[in-house]
Amino acid sequence: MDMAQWLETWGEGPVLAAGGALIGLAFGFLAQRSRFCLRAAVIEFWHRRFGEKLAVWLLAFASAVIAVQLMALSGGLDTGNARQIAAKGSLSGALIGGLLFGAGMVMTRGCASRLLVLSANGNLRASLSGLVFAVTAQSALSGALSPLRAHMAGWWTIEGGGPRDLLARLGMGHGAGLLMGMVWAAAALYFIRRSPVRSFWMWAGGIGTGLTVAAAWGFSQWVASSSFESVQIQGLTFSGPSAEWLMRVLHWPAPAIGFDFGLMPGVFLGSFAGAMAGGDWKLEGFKDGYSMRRYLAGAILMGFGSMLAGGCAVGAGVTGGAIFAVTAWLTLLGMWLGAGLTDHWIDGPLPAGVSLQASPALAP
Amino acid sequence: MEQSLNIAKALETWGESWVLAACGAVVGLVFGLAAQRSRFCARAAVIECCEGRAGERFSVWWLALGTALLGTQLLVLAGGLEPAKTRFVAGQGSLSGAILGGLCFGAGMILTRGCASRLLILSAGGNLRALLSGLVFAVTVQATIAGWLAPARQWLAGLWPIDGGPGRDLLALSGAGAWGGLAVASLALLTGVVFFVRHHERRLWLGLGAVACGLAVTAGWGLTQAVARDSFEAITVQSLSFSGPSAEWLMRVLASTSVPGFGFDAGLLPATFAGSLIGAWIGREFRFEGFKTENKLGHYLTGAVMMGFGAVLAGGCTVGAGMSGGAVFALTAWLTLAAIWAGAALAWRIHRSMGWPV
Repeated sequence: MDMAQWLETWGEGPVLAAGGALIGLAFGFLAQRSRFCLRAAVIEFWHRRFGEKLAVWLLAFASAVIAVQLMALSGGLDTGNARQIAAKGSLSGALIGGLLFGAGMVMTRGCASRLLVLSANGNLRASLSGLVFAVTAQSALSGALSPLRAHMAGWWTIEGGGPRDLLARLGMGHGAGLLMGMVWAAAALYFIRRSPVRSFWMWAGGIGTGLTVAAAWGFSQWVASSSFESVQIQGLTFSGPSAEWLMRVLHWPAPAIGFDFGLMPGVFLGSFAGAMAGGDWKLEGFKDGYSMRRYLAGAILMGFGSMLAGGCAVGAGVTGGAIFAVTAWLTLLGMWLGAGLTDHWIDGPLPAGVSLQASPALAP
Repeated sequence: MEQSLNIAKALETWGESWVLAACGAVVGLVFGLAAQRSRFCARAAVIECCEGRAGERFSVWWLALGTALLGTQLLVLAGGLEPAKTRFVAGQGSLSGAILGGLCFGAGMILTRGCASRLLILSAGGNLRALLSGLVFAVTVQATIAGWLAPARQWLAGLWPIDGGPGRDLLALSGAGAWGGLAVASLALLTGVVFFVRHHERRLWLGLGAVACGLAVTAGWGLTQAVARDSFEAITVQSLSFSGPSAEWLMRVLASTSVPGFGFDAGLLPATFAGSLIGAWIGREFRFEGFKTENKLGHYLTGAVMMGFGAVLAGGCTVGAGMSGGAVFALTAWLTLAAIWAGAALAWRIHRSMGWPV
């Protein structure tokens, strides 16, 4: 059977949702096993204690870039149709949103996707923070916070098309993109050599997580090119789907079913399976009042920041980065800076001799 | 007459929404301040009774309920309120919903350590546990009204429905009539005063706080009825409630396109928060508080979900059904109140037998 036939039998929505669920399952399982986490990677980077987390993130990012650029080279993916490139965007939104998101993910000790993965491992802190994140994101999307978001995004906008495509701007093609992916992979290998811990899951999880991002692009492009309706191609992201799911639970009529509909439960179940396989399942709550204020404030910053920037650590950072969207790279930069500064202000430098793994700053 | 003219004029100048919201704000401010100062809490009252030492907190609650009953019945006799036209009596109701919802709500409030109104008041005092539980409560309420939990609620409510009209009016059912209602209400207030004085002696301010909580319920009924009388639009006559308004505010924050109309509820919620904040400030009680022990979070979350579902199923929370609905002698409201007590007592027993702290 081919895609056109599936679409005819089941319709676009269910096919997209099923694909989202399968890709989500893989992402959830691999991210859980490899402890894929931008926040931890950023903290390792700023503390100059290059270890497993940085290696996993770089591996994932490099493999996403390489796989996506290979698909673009082979003609299987037209990145120009992606929302992150085709639509009008905002540079101010990307930078400020990235900074806010970075600050928020250090405070909440996990970015949006990490919260979902941890929720499935019995971490109630993460589920509650995730709820606050979703409420803020939805509010910034089309609720009470949306005028503020629109205002901030309007400060410095960028037209869609060529201007938003980093490769086009630099006058390069997808071959150069592939080369840049190789450079990132080399960086990943360099840090893996320096990492004190090297495990199977670091390799498999890191590369696999990156490949699921590419798989999402490829799958939605496959559906889009086989369908007579207009289907938006997309990669993995977590801010929009969280808001969509919140409204789905709260309000009738619910939005139409699509890729995002399957993605969230897929990631949850995948991560749950990962926790079961690794014996990581454990009910956990808050430890003290201070951490709770910190988690709540961080979740609010992340929710607003992700909507302002147009994506979370995975949605803008990896998914948008892999297709070389200008705004996504700016957001990623903002996240690294915001997270580094916030970590410096809130948690401060580590005392010498304490390993980063044992420090409170890295506790999930 | 003059007062009626004033309201008509205010309606013309400001419009129904703003006048109603202002009414809600005044009532909420008084309730928030009074409830914070008097530590008005249905949950604490139930627990005291379960432990066989009904006193401190129970007397405050009972005094407030007695005041609400007598105040509202006097209002009815003076012609300031027609109970038969309120949604508690006129609309279609559900006996199964009242009982099951009340049980669910009662058990939930033991787990979450506070009923819906109490969560709002505690949040204003810096209690982040209550704030988060309140968010979960509001999300569940909205999902039960119009989201994924709505089919379950409709099914449970449909098990034993009851038509609107005299069949939902306890005074009409029992044949006691308005004067009978007044007698019962007077008895409730009298026992409330006696009980309060026995436990608190002459703590005048505490007593006034409890009385103000009750009067806020009466004021809500009186003000909305006055607006309804002078307005040409269809105005819902209502009083204090916290489940519906929290869902309404949640949706107002989440989606500008589906903002519900501004009204009594829109003013009530923020004003209760503000009143309670003022109370905490006066008493120097404002303090940020979060979750302390690891295992409790699950209890709080479960309780908040149970309260949210129960409140919508029963048609109100401890204040919305228990006080506002009770004050107009609605059958379902009294059933709900009894079920809340039963559910809470049951949950308390389970808590004790499991060795969990209450």
